[in-house]
Amino acid sequence: MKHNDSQSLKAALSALADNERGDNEGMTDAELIGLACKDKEAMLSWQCAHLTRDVLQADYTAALQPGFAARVSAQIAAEAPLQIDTDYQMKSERVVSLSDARQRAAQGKRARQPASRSAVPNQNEPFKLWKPVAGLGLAASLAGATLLFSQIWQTEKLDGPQVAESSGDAVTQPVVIAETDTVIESNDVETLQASVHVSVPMENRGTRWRMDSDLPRNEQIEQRLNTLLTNHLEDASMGRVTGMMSHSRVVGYDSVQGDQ
Amino acid sequence: MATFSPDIRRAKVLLAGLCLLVTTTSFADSMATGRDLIEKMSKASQGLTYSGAFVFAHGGELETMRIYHSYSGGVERERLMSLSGEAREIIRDAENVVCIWPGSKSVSISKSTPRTPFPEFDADQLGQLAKLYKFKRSGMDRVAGRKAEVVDIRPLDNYRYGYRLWIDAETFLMLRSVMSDNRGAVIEQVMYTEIEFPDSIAPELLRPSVEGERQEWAVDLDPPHLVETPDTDIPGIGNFTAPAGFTLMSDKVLMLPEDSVVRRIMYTDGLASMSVYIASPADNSQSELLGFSGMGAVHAFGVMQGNWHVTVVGEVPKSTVKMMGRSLTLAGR
Repeated sequence: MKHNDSQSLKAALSALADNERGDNEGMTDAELIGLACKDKEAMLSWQCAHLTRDVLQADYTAALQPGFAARVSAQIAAEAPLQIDTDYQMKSERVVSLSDARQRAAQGKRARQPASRSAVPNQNEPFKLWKPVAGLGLAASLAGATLLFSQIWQTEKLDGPQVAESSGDAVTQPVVIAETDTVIESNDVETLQASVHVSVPMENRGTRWRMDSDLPRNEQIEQRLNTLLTNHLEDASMGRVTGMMSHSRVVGYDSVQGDQ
Repeated sequence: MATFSPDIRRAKVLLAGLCLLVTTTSFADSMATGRDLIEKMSKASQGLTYSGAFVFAHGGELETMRIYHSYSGGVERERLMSLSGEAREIIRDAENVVCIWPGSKSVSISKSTPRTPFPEFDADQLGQLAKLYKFKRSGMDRVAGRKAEVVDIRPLDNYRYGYRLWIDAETFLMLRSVMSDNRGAVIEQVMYTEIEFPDSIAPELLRPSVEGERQEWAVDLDPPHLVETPDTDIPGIGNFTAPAGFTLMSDKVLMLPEDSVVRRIMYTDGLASMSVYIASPADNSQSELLGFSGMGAVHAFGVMQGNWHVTVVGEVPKSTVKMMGRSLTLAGR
């Protein structure tokens, strides 16, 4: 396989990092690395794959190069869940429509999707480690927004912009939704906050089966695989050592939904 | 090039031979002691009563879980539940394994298999295992406030994962496990953050937390169960190519509530296992995997073989299920 575009090159590097390149990929490992050396993005991807491994192995010494903190900060700033801050700052924005909000959600979701569905940590994964921290900030923001909203609602009984409930399907990040294209004055912060509906990034059907990138997600298949896996673990050799801990994958909840 | 007298050459050969002998002996010892520890771990995980909280780390994510394990009168009862996100849980006793997914309001019940201790290997099998993994005791550490011995099991090729295990020095229960590939890159890990060993566990702690709400849920009332030495029309496996060391472990039939019968043929190399499930195409073909899927260290590969659907599942790398799934052919009984 030739890797003419950056995406396929990154995917190939990810496979190489995970030692999952096939025997007949049309290009040797050395040729692939040579090609990557000429592509800045691919180089960064390769470095990030190794950074992920080093961090997961708690070997931070090589990973924490000068500029690491700045890069992490930049990445966190670019992460979709933190767009709550952007949404909060929408007091300076004029119009928030339902379609805009949905588009924002879709863009944010796409931005959060991993480049590869493989078990190989991709370049975004080191930064997932920071999401719980970001999540705390998010939770605090949400609590503030909710409290302020309820206080205003109780005291002023606003008839202002209605809140459109987001449907549960695949909304995985906070979304600001207003029903109409009402113009909101930039200094009318309280009114805006009363109109803000924030959905907590939760989805109740999460599992962490990762289909190959060209296969659509299918809940029935995941359920079937869960059944087969549970059955397999009952008899698997290492299951006799780890006991019920083997079932953690099935019981665990995929709180960071990057899937479709 | 330097030249040596015959005496010096003889001495060097002797020294090399001695080193080889010492290395071989200590290697066999480490294999045996490593295996010995694993067998003790296996017995401890089944025969102790304990409860604890542990973290499960995978792909940069971290989850917290709680486990209750009771062993009383020769009967094991266990409950595993997620403490974050959706409150999924699994309850296992001598009869059933019950998986509860509150989000989709579904419950799946399958027949539990009586747990047996880790199989004891004879010298030949240990020798075979030594060609696949390297065992090493790596000293002492501390996990969840308890002293633990660390054992490394490193695979010698790309077709299986390695483990670093922290084994409780007093009870031999596994306190921490890190699963990695053959280059040492971490795939998943679990680690107790707290653990205790009470005399008994209150029965209510071993019951599902959502029992009362389950009445309106979709429950598979006909639990899947395994039939030994199946007499079935489902074909078995004819030819296949698998990584070195994988041999047949069991051949059973799994009775599913909806679409009947699935044949499960399991292979193991002594540590790693993978199962091949062979099923006639389900009525709803949407539920059959075609291609790859993965979840942390678990990989699955689905393919059609004539009218039969084959799924290979195991805690093995993608390349291993790929090799098995793509190479196997079916054969009638």
